[in-house]
Amino acid sequence: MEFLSIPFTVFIVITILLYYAGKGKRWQHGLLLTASIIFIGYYHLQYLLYAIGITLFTFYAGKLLHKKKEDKSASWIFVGSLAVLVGVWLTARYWSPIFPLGISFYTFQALSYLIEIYWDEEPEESLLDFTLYMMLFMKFLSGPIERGYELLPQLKKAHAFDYDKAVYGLKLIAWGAFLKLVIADRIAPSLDSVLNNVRDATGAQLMQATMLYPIQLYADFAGYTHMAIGLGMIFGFKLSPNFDRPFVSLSTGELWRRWHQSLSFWVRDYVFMPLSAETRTLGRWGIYLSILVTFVAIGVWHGAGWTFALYGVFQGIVIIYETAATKFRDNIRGTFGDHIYRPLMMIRTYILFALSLLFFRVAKISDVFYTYRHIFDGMKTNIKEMRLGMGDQDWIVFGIAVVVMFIIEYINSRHNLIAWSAKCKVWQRWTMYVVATLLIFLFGAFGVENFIYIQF
Amino acid sequence: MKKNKPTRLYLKCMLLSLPFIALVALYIIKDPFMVIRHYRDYDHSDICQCEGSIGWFKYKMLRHRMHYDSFIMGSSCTKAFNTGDWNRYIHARPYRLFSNSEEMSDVNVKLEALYSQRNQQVKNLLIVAEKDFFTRTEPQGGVMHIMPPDVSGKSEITYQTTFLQGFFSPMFLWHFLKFHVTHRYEHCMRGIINDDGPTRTFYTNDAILPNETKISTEGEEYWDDKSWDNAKQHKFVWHEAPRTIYTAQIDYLNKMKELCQRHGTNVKIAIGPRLDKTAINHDDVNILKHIFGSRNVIDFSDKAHEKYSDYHNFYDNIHYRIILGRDMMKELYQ
Repeated sequence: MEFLSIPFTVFIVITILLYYAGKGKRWQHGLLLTASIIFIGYYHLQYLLYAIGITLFTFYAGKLLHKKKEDKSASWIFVGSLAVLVGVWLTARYWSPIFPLGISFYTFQALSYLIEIYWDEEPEESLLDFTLYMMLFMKFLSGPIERGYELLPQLKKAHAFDYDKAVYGLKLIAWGAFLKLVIADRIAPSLDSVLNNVRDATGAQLMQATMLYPIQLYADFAGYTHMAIGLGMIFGFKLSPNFDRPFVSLSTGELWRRWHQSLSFWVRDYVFMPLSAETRTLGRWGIYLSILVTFVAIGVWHGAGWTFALYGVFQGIVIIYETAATKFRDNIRGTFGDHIYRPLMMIRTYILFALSLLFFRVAKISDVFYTYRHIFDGMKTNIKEMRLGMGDQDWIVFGIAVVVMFIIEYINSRHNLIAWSAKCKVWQRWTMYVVATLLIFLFGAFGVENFIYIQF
Repeated sequence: MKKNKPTRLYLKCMLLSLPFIALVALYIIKDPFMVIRHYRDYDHSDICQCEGSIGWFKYKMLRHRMHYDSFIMGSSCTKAFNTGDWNRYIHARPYRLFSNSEEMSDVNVKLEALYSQRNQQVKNLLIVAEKDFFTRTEPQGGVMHIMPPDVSGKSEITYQTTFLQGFFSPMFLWHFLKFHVTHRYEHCMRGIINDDGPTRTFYTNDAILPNETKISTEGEEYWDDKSWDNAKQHKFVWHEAPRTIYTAQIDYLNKMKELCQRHGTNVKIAIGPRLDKTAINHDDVNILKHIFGSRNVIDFSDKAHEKYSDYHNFYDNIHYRIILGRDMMKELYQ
């Protein structure tokens, strides 16, 4: 069930009421596990079976790995376990008639868990706690990808109700709902109509859809993440952040430190760092190779098909260039000053990201290159066609919402707005609550499709 | 310690929800869009309704009695096509199953729903189209377009929450509350509150045309308003709109055609004229004729029919008159 649905609302209200009605860790964890099983099984029983299977395998593989860690067979067990997990994931992606939702996320959690044990972490003793780590419903569908050493300790104790945290969580959920409903879902049908049929669109429409897609993707995914983190806070958990204002990045490298952080940091720690250590004898070429392999891995993680691999290659090549051209960029910065350099670099990074995302979004490679070739065609397109089927009111709402998003994120980077709002007077806080709820309800595009990252 | 009791949060959440709960209760009691409960009479509502949904409810209510087997579909321009006039050509049991700003994807979804009804024949289908009719390949949503679950395939919850959200939109809610408090219609309520009385007949869902009566009474004075100046001064020049039918739409139309052929439905498509003389693109017309047959598609917006765009043939800048509809049917069925 999707977060923004009436069944989920009923589900979460009942779960919260029961969670704090009982006492003790066993009650809370038993309830969360039951809720997670219901949540996952609601979509399809097969998703639940996959999740349970991978959880059990990882748990016992971890125990075996730890037991045999002084043995010669440890590395075989380690490689074998990783191979099984990756094999199951690839099988599900390429050959299964039904692709289990969330498998990419919890498989990476499982991989990091085993890698950490191989690197001398202690395995989790409690199967219940481990199962919750893998299947906790609020992060199951689209992350964040949690590390064992961050989430497992939080599962060691019962969580007493914390009013301030719960309110903070509700505010995060409201913000996530705003991003998802008012921005992402509002523009989604219009962009889909172009990006699903690029050869039927004019150049101006292609340009418009290409440049707006990163905003839709960000609002959709960041919206989901905020809701997941907010839900976690209500239950007393601290989940990892996933975004840090990615569109202020001055380089693609910086963008990937701000975008889908749980994935990019995972790949940095478990792919890039070991690989660059292994290739250190190659000097800077070793680093370049490591970057390329890392980003191809990121691309392939997103989907089966050459388009996703090329998405990764695109990112990797740009970052290699940026790494190689650091001096050149510093010279430009020195020549033109920060006031010109920073906005130019933000725009450049955004445009490159938007162009790379075509590989992510468009079904065929030939269609991506078609888009590149025709993106400047038809600049005299009729203004009606530029509407992409959306009414004027929708465009106004979308435009204002995007500006509000950027402003709030900017202010929030300097002063935690949610914490600040808690210090306001009662009437001010309640005005904000009522206005926020009204805005979401009035301007939210309800009934539009799933979260984009739910397909991974 | 007191601060950390969840009851305080629950109470505050309920308090925040109270105004919304009160409005939801009002919505359920009043059922302004007539979608929560079933009614005997759908045609005397104060509120401008989702015509598609209402038309479907009436169809289902009456079909066993009336045995409808022929349907007029399209947007509100179908008001120019009376089932009685149509019946002179088809000799069947027609019903006007139209919707607000309907497009081909909406027609297709309704057709599929009709075919799935037990013992339902669709012998004749008259599609009243415009230049933008063939753009979408997904049915429209929103309070003025969404069809009931047994047509759209969406859940009852999605269907009802769409109308609930429509109820809460400022544009609707403000005028609805004002009208129900003051019982006075104001011009700004146009499109939300219906001040014209019944707009459709009971059995065939034909349009009731108060403007036709006005024209009979007022004559040329009916078109005295400033909004007609451009038309009266011949400022509109005949021109073609950009093409709208491409690969996705062609695939969709072919599937529609196959569906109709499989069920033995005789399809006619009338592309109506426009006051501003904007014609559908000729490429689009050629594609439609290729798919449905050149005798089954007539473009009344083309240069040959430019005379149809005379302002005397229109009630307003969108809707043409029933006298034009009769001429169009005559040409379509000769």
